[in-house]
Amino acid sequence: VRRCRRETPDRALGPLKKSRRTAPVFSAAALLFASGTGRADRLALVPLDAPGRSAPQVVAEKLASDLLAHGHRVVASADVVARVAMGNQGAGPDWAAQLQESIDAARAALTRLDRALALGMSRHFAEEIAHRGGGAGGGDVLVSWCLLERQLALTGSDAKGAAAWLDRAIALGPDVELDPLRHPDEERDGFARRRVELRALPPAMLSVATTPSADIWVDGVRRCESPCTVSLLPGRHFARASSPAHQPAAFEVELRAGSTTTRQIGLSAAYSGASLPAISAMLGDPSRRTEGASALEPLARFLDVDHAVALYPEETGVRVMISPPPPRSAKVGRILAPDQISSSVLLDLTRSPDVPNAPWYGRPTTWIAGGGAVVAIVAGIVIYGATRPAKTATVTVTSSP
Amino acid sequence: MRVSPTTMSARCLGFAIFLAACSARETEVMIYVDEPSPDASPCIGVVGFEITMTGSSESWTSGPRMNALPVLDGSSCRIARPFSASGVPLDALLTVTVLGYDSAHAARISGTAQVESLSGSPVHITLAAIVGAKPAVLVIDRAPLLGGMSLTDVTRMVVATQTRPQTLLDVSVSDVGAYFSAVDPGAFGVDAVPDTLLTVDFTFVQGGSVPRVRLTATQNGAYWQTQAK
Repeated sequence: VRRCRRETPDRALGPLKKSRRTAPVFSAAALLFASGTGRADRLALVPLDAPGRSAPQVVAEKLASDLLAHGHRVVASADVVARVAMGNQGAGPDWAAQLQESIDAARAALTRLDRALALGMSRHFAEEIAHRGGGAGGGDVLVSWCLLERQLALTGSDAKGAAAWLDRAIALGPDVELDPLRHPDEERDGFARRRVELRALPPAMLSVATTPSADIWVDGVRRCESPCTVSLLPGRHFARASSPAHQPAAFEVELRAGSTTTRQIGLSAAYSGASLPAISAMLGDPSRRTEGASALEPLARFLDVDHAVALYPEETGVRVMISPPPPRSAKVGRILAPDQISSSVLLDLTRSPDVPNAPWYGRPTTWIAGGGAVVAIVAGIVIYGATRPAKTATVTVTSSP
Repeated sequence: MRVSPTTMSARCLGFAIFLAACSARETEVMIYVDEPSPDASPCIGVVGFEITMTGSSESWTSGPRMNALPVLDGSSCRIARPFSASGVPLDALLTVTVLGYDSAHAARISGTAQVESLSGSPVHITLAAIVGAKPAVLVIDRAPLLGGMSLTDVTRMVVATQTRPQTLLDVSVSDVGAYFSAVDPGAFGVDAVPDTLLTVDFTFVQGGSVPRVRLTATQNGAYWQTQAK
């Protein structure tokens, strides 16, 4: 927050200057009020980039901290980005081709004896391949990566490690024919010889069941539609289950010769709304700002939160949009100084929802009034019964008329 | 117009309390005392009535209800003033007793009713002669016999036969109370009137006295009327 203040001189604040002077008092009162009357909401913080300006991560972290302190549950901005991005980015041939170029670059670095760079790049490739479940771009790139690792092991005088990586390369792509332009003769010969040996082993079986049914990709190749069983060479394999409108599931599995391994996977629905960059672009265009704010609602539903709180740097402050908006709040939110954001958001979240058009039997006040009336009538009867004297009479004795 | 739940509840509670308050008023109940048969004339000689109502935990007494004159006619056996008591339980057992007394505060007539509920039909009590009441009634107009003294100053009155002196009546006023002096002529129950010549002696407060008075008794139907000689 202090950094944000330095970047925003007072004279530039303009209309926000006056409110900043009263902000501490306002914030304290609002926080006190919110702490006494607030209810716990599940919230997602979405810091968005603006043209030429980065997302207000510091403000988002401060807001997350204040919301957590007041009992709300917060999905961190990094998690939001990861969950929204998952499934949106492909892992097909383009990805494989791009990865192959990077592997070639790493090999070139190794040729230049820049082993450290190649090693770092290879670790990154490992994470990327594991994250994509081997991807869907064929087995060539996986074999290339394993052979890169083999080369790294050889240059590290790790003969055993090099042999393991060769085996793994064969397990990942037993049908791959190595490109002579990329792989030296020694590597191709070793690959061919060892492949014959490994193919002689009893095959391993991988049985996969998913909900819903999905395409099963193993080592970058589509094998079947689940539920199904795949025959593979023994060794470690990457697998990926993908189904339309669902986030792909990726996993690794170690298969032993002659054994059958089973995996059951449930697929989550994929985010099909506007991407975060698209929302940022819409918010940056005043004519599409409402559209951008509306795009936050599917995002909140996808993240399974009560509200998505978007933070978009604008003018000299931050535009704060809560979606779905609390009662009596603008959908496009408002621009606030950084130190007003927490108190304003907390205050907005304390507003109870309106039920303006609910039928009489759907209004809580109707039931409260009805219950109160019944209780009052019962109380009246009880009071009457408890306090009334026994029935008495005024008796007059007189002669008969 | 929207009414808040609190207002609605308060109104209902107030209405219930209002109903409770309004429903607390008492019921008016009449108990009628019927005259005895005029032929039997057990009421002759009665100068006043007393009414007692006894409930399970409380009783109500009227005190003397004096007539203007003694009952000398069977058809005029009536209580001079009604007696009212409030707060009588409506649905509890109630015993109502009516007693008629002569001038010596001797009960001559009575009636009793036990009422289980006053909510039902009107209650009637029939008066009847008390068994053992003195059968003859002697009516004495005492004011002319007092020589100018007041009847309220009399403390004792003794009536006796003249020829063979026999006391027919000896009334100590302190035991009789208002019954002796409130109604004149007085009516006194006696066992019999064996002689028509009678004497009356009065004793007054502070020892005063008047000469013995001689009376002649004459039977007039169901009672004996006396007259100074």
